Amino acid sequence: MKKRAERLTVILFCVIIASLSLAFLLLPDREFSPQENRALASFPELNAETFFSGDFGKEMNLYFADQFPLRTAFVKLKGGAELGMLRGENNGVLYSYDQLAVKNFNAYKSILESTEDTDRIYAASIRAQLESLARFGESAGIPIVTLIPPRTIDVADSSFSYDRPDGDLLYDLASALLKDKAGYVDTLSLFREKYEAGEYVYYRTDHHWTTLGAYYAYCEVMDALGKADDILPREAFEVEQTESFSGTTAARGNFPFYRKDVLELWRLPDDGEYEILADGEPLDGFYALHHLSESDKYAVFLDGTHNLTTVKKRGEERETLLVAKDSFANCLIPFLAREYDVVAVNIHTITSLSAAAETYGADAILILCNGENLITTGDLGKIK
Amino acid sequence: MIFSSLIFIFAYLVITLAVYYLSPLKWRNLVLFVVSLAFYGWGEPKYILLMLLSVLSAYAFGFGIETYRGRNDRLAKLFLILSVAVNLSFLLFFKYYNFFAGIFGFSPIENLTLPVGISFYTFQILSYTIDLYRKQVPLARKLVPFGTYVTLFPQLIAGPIVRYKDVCEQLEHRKETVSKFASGVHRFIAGLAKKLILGDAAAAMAAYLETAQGFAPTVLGGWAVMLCYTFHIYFDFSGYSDMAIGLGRMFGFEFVENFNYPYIAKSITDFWRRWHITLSTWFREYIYIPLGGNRVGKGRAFFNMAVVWFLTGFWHGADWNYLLWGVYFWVFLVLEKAFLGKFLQKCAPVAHVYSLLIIGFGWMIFFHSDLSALWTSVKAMVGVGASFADAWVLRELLRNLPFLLLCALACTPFPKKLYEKAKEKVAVVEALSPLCSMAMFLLCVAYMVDNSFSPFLYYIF
Repeated sequence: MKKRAERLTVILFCVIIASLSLAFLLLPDREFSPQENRALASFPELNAETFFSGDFGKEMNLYFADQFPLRTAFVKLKGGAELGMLRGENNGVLYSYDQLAVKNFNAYKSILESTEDTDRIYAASIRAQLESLARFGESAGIPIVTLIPPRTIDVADSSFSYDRPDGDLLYDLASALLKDKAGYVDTLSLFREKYEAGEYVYYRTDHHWTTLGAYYAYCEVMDALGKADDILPREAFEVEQTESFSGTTAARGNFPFYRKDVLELWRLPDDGEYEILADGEPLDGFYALHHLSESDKYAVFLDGTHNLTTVKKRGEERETLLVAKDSFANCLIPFLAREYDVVAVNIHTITSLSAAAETYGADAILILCNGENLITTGDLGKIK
Repeated sequence: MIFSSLIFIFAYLVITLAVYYLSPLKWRNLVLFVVSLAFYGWGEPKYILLMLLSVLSAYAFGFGIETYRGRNDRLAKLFLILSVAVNLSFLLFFKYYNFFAGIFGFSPIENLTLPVGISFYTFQILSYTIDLYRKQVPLARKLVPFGTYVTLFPQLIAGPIVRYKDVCEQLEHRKETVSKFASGVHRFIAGLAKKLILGDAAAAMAAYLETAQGFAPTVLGGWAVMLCYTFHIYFDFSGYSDMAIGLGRMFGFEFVENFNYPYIAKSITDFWRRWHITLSTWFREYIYIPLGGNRVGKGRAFFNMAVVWFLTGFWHGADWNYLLWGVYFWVFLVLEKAFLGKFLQKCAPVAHVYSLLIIGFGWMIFFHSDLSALWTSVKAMVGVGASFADAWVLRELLRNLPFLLLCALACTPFPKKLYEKAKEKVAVVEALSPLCSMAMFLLCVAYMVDNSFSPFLYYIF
């Protein structure tokens, strides 16, 4: 018995390592992982310099991990094992069947009060960013609205009974500094209330808000700009649904079981009358439908993030709304475009917003930067 | 290259096993020598030359020692000193130059990176030279087996520190068997699992908790960080030793054990008989005993211990916290020798709690090269400027409780004993062991695929 078990051990081990090595060697490289929505590593450049500096060795490790046979299955196996250990977490993503959320740090009091760039996670002083934005808002000369969409963990904390001491401080501070000076509109309490009431305002598997969530944000922005009477009622839209959307959070968590999302496109009969340019290229409507067959389905909204997106309605003279935005705005802009001509610039790349306001003759400004980007990028503070 | 990487297992190991077992017996050491150099050179090839120089000098001086030993002892001693000096100087230069430069104010050398594994292989080489002089080992006449001894990839980078006298027989007359290979496979997989499934997760948890401690310190959070460090370093390092021993067996070697359930120790003295055994053995054999050991007056013995623990701390790294860490253990070892040891023997539960606290706190020193950060952590642990707990840290610990209990269990001999018992009682357990091992192996592969890079702690020493 002992001998047989030993022989079996040796044979199985050798067969497993040899066959996986062979499969790795023989299977063609894949360039892209649709599950994770990212380019996979290709065979690293090999020359004397890369070899002797050790870069080749490091990149070979990444290449191996990315091109490993049965990669998707292995990655899911690990996600399952972490769940099996009852940790409720994998790769920094918290798990419950109906809701996934990236386990972000809270914006603690000490961080908010800090006036220095603290460390890698907190790229720039949050307070300084908000104060800088307040100064911009005061001198903008046209109406300005600021929205800081909360992170999933802020909205959906009840799904994880995940205590967040000081968790709302970030939004409280934004409110205190920006409410009068940059038209800050609190959305955290709104979304949390809706979420608790069972409304589908944030995706389960992606870090963005849903189209319904964006609709609520649209109502808030319209209200803040004094256009409450022009808000289109929810019933006016015809809703088109796409099932089994699995977003960025799920791609990072790699759990074997979770509830997928439904992605909604809200349409009106006059959708065809808008002229939309993304970095100068015309788009065929608000929704770039080919993305629905890809894994990154959220890119269906305005074809994903571009540095400059403009929307005009043919044959109508309308006010212009300048939007400095991150990806959360992609599904909000189709709503706003019913009222305004929209010029949307990427908040991460825009050099001068006031110059843009002048160029495009903006009548109002919307700043939109979600909580995570505020904490980690520091781009909100660079607006001038 | 590190063992818990895909490239090691699915490229390096596959090729090495194939070439090794397809080669005729007399070429096998040469095969190991060459592939070990490739293993070492992977990523940082420039230090291969340094290592070869170490090997060649010790090999050549060995002839000097052998020739003059007994005939002209002063000349033999000169060769001993030369060999030790050359090898030690490499270690001193690369590991400690910048540290001393900082102290004495001469300019540091930029980009002076520590050659991987130099602390380990230098000690192996020294064991040969010194034992040769003491007539405890025969002269290594052939270069290839000696080179294989020093460079052997399983133990090259992070131990165990194999003394020449423990393997010189095996270098030329080892026998590869199915039974040894199979036990090597099991051991390798056990080490992989310890490192990848428990160690890395404990490390991530420690880092996460510690960052949170920086923002909102709590007493409980501080102790949780210490607990995670304690698990992290054990699973990381003993996992590595398991893999090394397992790989050695696949090639017919039998290395000495490096860990023996250190966290069940009943005293600090006991702990150091169970933790990194090969390092403690080395210091005992080549420093402590030559200094007179404990067969001298009490005061002198304590001094001898001080030397050993100063060096042990310093061996781990050229930084103040490592020195402090060594001295810290010296204090407790002296106390135990003086009176504490007798007291501890009387009450086992107290002894266990005492040992774990001292060990755990030791890791706090070990992990904080910034001593002011250590001070901040310690203050939080005793409640200075920190609340006892907050809802967040309680929740975090509760969520990880099953994982932490699993870690605690895995530190004890209990799982192994249970398996041995089950094997005796139920025949099918043994038959199923290959399948269980392979399932665990595939799970480890999954962890490697999803976690592209997780270097070993002891890789930097």
